[in-house]
Amino acid sequence: MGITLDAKIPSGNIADKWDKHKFESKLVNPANRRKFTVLVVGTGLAGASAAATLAEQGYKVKTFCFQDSPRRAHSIAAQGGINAAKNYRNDGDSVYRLFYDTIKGGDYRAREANVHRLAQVSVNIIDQCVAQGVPFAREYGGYLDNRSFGGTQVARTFYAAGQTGQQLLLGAYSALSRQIEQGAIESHTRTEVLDIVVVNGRARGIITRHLITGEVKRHMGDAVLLCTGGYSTVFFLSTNAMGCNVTATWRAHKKGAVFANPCFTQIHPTSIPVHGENQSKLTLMSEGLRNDGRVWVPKAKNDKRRAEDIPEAERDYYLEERYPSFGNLVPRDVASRAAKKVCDEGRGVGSSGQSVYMDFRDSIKRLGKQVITEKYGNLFDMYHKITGENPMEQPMRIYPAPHYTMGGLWVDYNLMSTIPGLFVLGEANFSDHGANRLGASALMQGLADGYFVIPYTLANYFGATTLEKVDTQNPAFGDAENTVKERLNRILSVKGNRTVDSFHKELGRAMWDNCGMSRNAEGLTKTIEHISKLRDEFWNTVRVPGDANYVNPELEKAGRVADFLEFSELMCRDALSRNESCGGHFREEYQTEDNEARRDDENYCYVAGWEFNGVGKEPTLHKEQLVFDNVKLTQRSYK
Amino acid sequence: MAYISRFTKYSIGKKIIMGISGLGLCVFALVHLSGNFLLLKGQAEFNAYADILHNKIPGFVAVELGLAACFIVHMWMGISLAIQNRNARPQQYAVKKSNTTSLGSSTMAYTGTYFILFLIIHLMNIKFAFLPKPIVDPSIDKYTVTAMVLAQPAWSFFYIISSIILGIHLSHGFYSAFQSLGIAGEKTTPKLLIAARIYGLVIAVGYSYIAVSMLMLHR
Amino acid sequence: MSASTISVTLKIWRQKNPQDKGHFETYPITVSTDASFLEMIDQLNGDLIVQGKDPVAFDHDCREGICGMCGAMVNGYAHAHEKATTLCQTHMRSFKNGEEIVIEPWRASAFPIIKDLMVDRSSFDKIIQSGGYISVSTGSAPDANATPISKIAADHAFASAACIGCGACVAACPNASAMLFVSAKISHLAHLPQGRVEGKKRAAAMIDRMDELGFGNCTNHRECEAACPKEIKLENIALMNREFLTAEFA
Repeated sequence: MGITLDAKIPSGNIADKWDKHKFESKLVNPANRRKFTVLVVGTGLAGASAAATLAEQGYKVKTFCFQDSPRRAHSIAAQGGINAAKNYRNDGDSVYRLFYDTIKGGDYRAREANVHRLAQVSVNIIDQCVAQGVPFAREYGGYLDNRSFGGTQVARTFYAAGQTGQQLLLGAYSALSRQIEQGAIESHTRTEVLDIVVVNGRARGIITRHLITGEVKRHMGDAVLLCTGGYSTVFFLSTNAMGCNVTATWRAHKKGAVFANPCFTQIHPTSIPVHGENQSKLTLMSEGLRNDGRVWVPKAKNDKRRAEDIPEAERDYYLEERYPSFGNLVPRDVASRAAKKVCDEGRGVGSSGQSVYMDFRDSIKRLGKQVITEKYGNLFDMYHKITGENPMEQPMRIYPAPHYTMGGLWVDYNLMSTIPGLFVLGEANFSDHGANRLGASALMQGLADGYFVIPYTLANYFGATTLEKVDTQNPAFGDAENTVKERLNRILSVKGNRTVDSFHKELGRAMWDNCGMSRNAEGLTKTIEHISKLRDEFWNTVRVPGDANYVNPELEKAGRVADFLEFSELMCRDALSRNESCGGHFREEYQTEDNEARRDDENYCYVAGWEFNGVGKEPTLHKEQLVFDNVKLTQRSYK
Repeated sequence: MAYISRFTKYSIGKKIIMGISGLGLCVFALVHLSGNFLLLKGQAEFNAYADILHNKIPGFVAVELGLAACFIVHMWMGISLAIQNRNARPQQYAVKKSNTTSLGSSTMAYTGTYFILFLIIHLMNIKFAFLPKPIVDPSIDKYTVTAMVLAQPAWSFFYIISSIILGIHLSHGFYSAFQSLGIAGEKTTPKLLIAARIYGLVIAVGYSYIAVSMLMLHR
Repeated sequence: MSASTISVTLKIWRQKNPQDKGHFETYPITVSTDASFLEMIDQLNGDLIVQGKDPVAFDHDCREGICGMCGAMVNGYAHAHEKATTLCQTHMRSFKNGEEIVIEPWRASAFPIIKDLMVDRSSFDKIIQSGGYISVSTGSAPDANATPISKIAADHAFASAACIGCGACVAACPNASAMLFVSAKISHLAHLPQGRVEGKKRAAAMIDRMDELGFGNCTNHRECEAACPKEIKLENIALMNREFLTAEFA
């Protein structure tokens, strides 16, 4: 099958593309909408907002989530806020500026037309959420408050304390719940999607497994929407939830959907560091702490003295030294790499040597304990709870952690993947953040896709396509179901002696070391071999107890890890083929003299779309050249 | 009637009826207590008070019936809610600790049930003058009847215990009624909690004081 | 971090499925004090799998105290003994060496046990479906700043909206009542002008659904408030009662 990545970007001026496209799109008559069944996989911001909106319009919608309730999707954990070009501050914000900041923040590896549309609909998102009752922070006058975030010079971030993701998701979940009550949505919880069914080249269904009863079931649909989030848990330790996985997108990839830029991952600089082998999860400390915390390590290697015993002259405030104008507030990718560098030099602190100090001593002296408590009390408590250390008395210790994945299934301007009828929304697609995502933009994208983009582009697909009648008796469903069942049985039949977690941890460690904050050709090549061996070992020695007929969390995990063992190889291959450094992708071979990322716009200004050719086989690279008509490409500098 | 049955279909409807009838009974408990203090003033004063209540106030029977209705409704709703609560957790925890449950709140059903029994005995004692032994003399006055009962240490003791149990019931019930009626808030709740305890204490001590005094007086 | 270990005895409720009667099983374990409570169960499960035994089933996901998926009764307390802390955020350093730790699932007829510590909380979703929302379709919203909302009201709404739907309130309530959960949603929306429009209908519908699902009643023990990891206030229940009263009489 000859794949060409046609983004189907509408012609015309950047500011008019979306309106023009909406007008030119085909519509579906309200009376005909109920004839279409839409399968929505994942109920986070993208999934819940899409499902609710489509159901309101009259489509028949089925939603699927592996959690026990749609409300628990991991969007719920987003802390900071959501961007929108409302310009309520009168500080020079505009749709164009949000567009510009996002393109630049993404290090010029995102598609202009998509990003501009994102900036355009951002304003409608805030309106919608407020109408739903999302309790955004307000000022005493009763109007909405804003804060500023990294990578921008305007205050355009709307927030609800440190729980913005939770409140936005509960808003979308409430809209979803209303449609469930009205019978417009059939909600399937504790249900995992294990395959996509393609009939005559179009996505026409999914195969699911119920995580309680173990029942494997076929679902027919006229379109499938994957809203399944990112794949940071490929690193095992990440800030994502334990259940986050790549399974749905990976299996779609194996069915023909092109995977784009898998190596673009975001490592967040301020997470609580790893404490030991049994750790399962990394917890984020909000980026906002960098406003008042000074980051440092001892100047000497292996300095085991306590922080308070190290005199001022022997401390290295490395961010302030290296980036005098941005100091502790450099963007996420830069701060993360700098922390790794000093730890690699042997100057990291803590028992593992894998952390740096974020010190509030000077701020406490300057502002007093009370002000610091008011600003950061919650975070300090959380840190104290997890580590047993009080940041008021000793410096916090932080380290970068995998957080978000910009890569995902390739989609065109309509959010449709290379499989017609298979749409991909939110973090699961690759489209809007390029090589690095700005803070408070993930929530914006998820809701933009779900509330305001897919209702138009899906109608256009239905309106412009003649869909044949298909039912679940179609052989394609039978084949997919058999594949799923065989795979489950194969996992159960290994009966080896290694736990699923031990494989996941080994894979995660290898990926973190070689395909994490910085990468090089040698490490990536070695890791591809490592993964291949680990995959063989998995299929020969993994131990999954129990059977597939009732609750079996180990079986669920094993299926996900098996997919990661295939997917991680693609990540490494993508990283290996991109011979430049940009955003979250830092290739050690491609850096400037003072160790900054060196982008290569001449040769790598493209989206890397990968076509699946079989497990362990070299995938085929398809390039979508990125054209910048509006933004001038420049080198990012934070000195 | 249809309206009431719709209202009581809701658990909160039941709670509200429970609260209103409970508050009615709380008022009665206080009025009854202050009236009873006349027992300590003397026979003539107390009998005069009883006479006014029963013979001089027109429609007093209606008040009595209202009171009886309060008791019945309170009991009925209480039992219905208790059944619902029991069904809501058929299997108990092996280990369960409490953070805030008070003596009053955890014993409402028991103290309530006890109080029903007490009430029957109390009415037999005083209102119908049937216990400890039936008195048929129609001219006997209320003071004498009361004194005859409370003069006996065992009966006096029974009344003291019952007063304390009632106090415990009310120490939670008084607050609870306000909460059920929606009269509570961040500022009011702590005050209500204290008020309820004081109220329970007043009831327990007040009635016990009368019982002890009468025992001392007539032994 | 003080990387020391403690040895504890776990007494865990094991129940194969809803039909099984269930029983306690005892497991000794030595664990780092830096481990979270769920990491301690992970460690136990790793050992059980290698020994060819059935690992303990428990719900969990975000492990940062916000998704509401985890929860169990630990030594008689919902989400263990630490105040305002979910089970995933509880760490082993708050237990003593040699301690016996009894772990049971939430118990309520409205939360039937699925397996071991896993329970079915879909009744919470059903309550929200009955009316826990503002009926606004996408696209029909006015400008976000069109209606000013006092900061105090917005803050109150937020405090109630912080509920994570974990079910600890039901688990801790001596009557297995869901009133804190229900009232938190009613109160969140009642504090906002856009939520007032269908306020009456909402309160009646949600309370009705809650009753249907077999939850118990509030008898004002205030155990729910003490157990809530997000410190949702009991006053919400009073507010819900007021909403109900005005729905009926006003």
